[in-house]
Amino acid sequence: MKYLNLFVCLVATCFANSQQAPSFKIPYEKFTLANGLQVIFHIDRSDPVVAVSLTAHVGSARETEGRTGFAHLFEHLLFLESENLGKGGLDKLTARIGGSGANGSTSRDRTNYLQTVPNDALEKMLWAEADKLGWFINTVTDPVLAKEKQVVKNEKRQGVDNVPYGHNSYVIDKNLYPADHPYNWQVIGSLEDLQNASLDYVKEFFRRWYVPNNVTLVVAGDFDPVQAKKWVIKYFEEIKRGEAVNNMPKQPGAVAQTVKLYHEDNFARLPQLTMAWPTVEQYHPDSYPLSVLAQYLTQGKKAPFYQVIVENKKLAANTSMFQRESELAGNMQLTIRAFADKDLDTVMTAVNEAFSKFEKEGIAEKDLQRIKAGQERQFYNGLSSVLGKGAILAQYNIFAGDPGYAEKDINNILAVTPADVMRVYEKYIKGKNFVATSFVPKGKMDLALESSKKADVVEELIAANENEQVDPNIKATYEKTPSSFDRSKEPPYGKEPKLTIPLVWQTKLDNSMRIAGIENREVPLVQFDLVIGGGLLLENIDKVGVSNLLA
Amino acid sequence: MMTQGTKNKTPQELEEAIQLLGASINVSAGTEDIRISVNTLAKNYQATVDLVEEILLEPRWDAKEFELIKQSVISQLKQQEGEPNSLAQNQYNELIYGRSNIRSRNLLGTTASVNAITMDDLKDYYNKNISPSVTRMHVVGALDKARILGSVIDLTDKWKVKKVDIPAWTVATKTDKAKVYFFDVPDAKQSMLRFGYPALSVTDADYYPAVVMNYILGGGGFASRLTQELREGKGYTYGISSFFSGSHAVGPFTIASGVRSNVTYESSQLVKDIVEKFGNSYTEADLVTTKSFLTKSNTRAFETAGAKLNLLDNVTKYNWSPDYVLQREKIVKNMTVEKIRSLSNKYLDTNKMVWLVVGDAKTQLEPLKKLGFGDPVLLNPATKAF
Repeated sequence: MKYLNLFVCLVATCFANSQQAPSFKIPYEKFTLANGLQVIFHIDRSDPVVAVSLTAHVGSARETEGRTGFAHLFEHLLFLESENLGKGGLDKLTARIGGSGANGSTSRDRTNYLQTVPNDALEKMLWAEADKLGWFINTVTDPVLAKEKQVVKNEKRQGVDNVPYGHNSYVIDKNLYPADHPYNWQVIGSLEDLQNASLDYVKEFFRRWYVPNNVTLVVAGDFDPVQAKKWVIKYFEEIKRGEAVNNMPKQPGAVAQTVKLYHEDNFARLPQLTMAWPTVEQYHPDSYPLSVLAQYLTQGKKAPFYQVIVENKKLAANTSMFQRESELAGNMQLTIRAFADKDLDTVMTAVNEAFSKFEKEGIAEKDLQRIKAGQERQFYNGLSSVLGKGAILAQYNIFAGDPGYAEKDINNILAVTPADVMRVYEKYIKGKNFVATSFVPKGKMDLALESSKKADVVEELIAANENEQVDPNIKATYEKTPSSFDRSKEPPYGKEPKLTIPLVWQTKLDNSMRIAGIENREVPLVQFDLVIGGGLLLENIDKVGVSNLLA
Repeated sequence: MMTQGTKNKTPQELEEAIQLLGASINVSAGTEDIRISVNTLAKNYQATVDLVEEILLEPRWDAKEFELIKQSVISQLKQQEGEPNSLAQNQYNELIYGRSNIRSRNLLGTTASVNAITMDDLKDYYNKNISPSVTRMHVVGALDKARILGSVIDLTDKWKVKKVDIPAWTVATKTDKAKVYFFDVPDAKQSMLRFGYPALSVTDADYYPAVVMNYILGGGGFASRLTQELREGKGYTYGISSFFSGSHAVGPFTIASGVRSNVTYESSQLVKDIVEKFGNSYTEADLVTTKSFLTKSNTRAFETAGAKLNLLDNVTKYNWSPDYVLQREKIVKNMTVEKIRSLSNKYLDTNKMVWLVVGDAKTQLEPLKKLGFGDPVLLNPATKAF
């Protein structure tokens, strides 16, 4: 990610009736330019905004050994400068137009760039996004690269190196996927590879993957599609098609023999056991029952893992399991962060007991129904903003080969049967080899699973990273990439959007509770809260913790 | 505890009732309130409100769940001891508010206090304080006012008013000279920086003007000086920001970041320099950018249901008119460089700030003497590992 939002926004939950046959669609229009750029429009007139996203079908899976972290480093570079916007151009533009912030994210399989802006800035955004593909690479210089490496290394420290259990995914993926598997390494890469990234290779990476025939552009929101299509053609059509890009073959992970590893974690105070099994990739028919399985086993009072591990044996406060899915492969991951000083072998015994319980009892139809209802709601959760809708249209277009995949996706969720859930359990989990990691506090190796080997984790030494001085302000000199028209001039604003404040009603009830509301019929949902004043302020300072326990 | 069953429903039965409606009901505690957040289908709205009413008025006080929750909180507290971010937040609150102010305390309590709390403590808090007279309800969705008001008739009838006086726990405005504090996390790969002081309440006339001023300092992401210089110029960090926070009560102005360990002093010094020269170096161009962003971004301000709930929260909490955004636009449009300078003189005094660093003391504490705020105070000398 280019940056992290410090404040997480609440999203509206949309929800469809799981009792009726769903016919949910996200309407869209798709066209492809001669250079291969795929373009998707989605109209939503509920607010005068548009979300613009550019997604390239390249993630860490396209990297090669010794060059890990490049796809993500690229995500960062693409925000910094381009020929026609200049240094910091997109960020400056974003501030002026009142955008939500130009952000992006990189996964194993794709990199995206997205933001929501007031709809009078649509032409400006299309102009700016086109510069990324056609008028960018000349601006990347050694000093710019040197500085951005430092930023990305800090991102890794913040998300991996300086947080508890930060290295867990690294250890699991190294062992779940063979050395030549594209998921063997982490998206963030290694500090060493990042430091060694050379300008030549960076340019080569761009020319191979950032070509219009490997990119999907999505515009979602309140705009005129006829006008927008003209602008897309104007700004993108002259960018040259690149070498053909093929999808990589599906390739499951493989664990020839069960692997047990431990790591003494400088930041962990509680021992944590993680088990991982190779399963299937995203949108595979079995991925749906696997998701149900993960949730049924660990979430809520009826979950076998909750009953055995939390309620009966009191080994942990909660349990979690999820099906991690990507384009080429997937895996099931069970995590139990135990209470302080609990031996993970005891936890493992309880895990096996919980599995046996499930084998005996299976899943009841009623439990399946409530889980599906929740999954469906989560699905719609992602669609409450134009940014979310744009992102999922791109996701479907690239990985399901169909921007209209939403309907099938929902139907697949709803079609899962109890027998499917048991079948995938037997096929992928029961008696299968797995990777188990024990992340334990420093000096608490005795809590790790018996016969675990030390995991190979590279930790940075503070003294070792001296002299990382950078000066990114040195101006790049290059010959400008030609264009059929003058792109150096920023396009004008469109018609200024009208700011409408939602209509608010409010009153005081007979018991003196205040109540206020906004009627909003975009989706058949209601979201409400009751805010009871006092919280911590009403507690006894010598016995703090009451309001939190009460909540 | 509130979602752990009701008088007539076991915890499991309540969980199932909520899930079968396709609803979610979450209860969380904060410094100034306890919040029940609900999501549901419009057609199941009444049934969901009925469950909320049951949760509010007929608590179960399940002893088994109480023990599980206590263990869970103690476990969370244990884990926070190892997390640089949690440590920084907890230490910073103590430095801003002072130990004797309850606002300084970790909401979760301490291992000792959680162990000491009994079910009777919860009942006592509930009986005295959970009252409609201090409650505000906000509803966003596909139902009109009449339907919403109709839905709470029973709740209004049954939920009786208690007299609740919420103490302000006002932060002491007395400001000592700036001081550097260090909390040691041996071998930390980053240093967490938290610099700030108790500044303004949201209701202060200067609050929003100060927010406008802060946009170019550290409120505006990539448009801000702090991000431009520490991240884009030096590569010291992945992110840095500054912000005013508060409520009816005065809250702190804070600068927050995580920086590469071996540039802890350099980063702190650079922040100090940027803040000190901010007012005088503020330009007309900065003001144009600020005005443009803060007015144009309002078209996005109410897109999601969450944003609409936030609007309602401000309206009922501060008695603001629903179009307070338009009033804020006026403040923005009338802002001048001179006003920004005078605000920065008043609210960005580095000599009044707490300079807290959470990182590796053995390599990073010593150089911080050069900041010119005296010798750093080590906050956790007992765990000193060098």
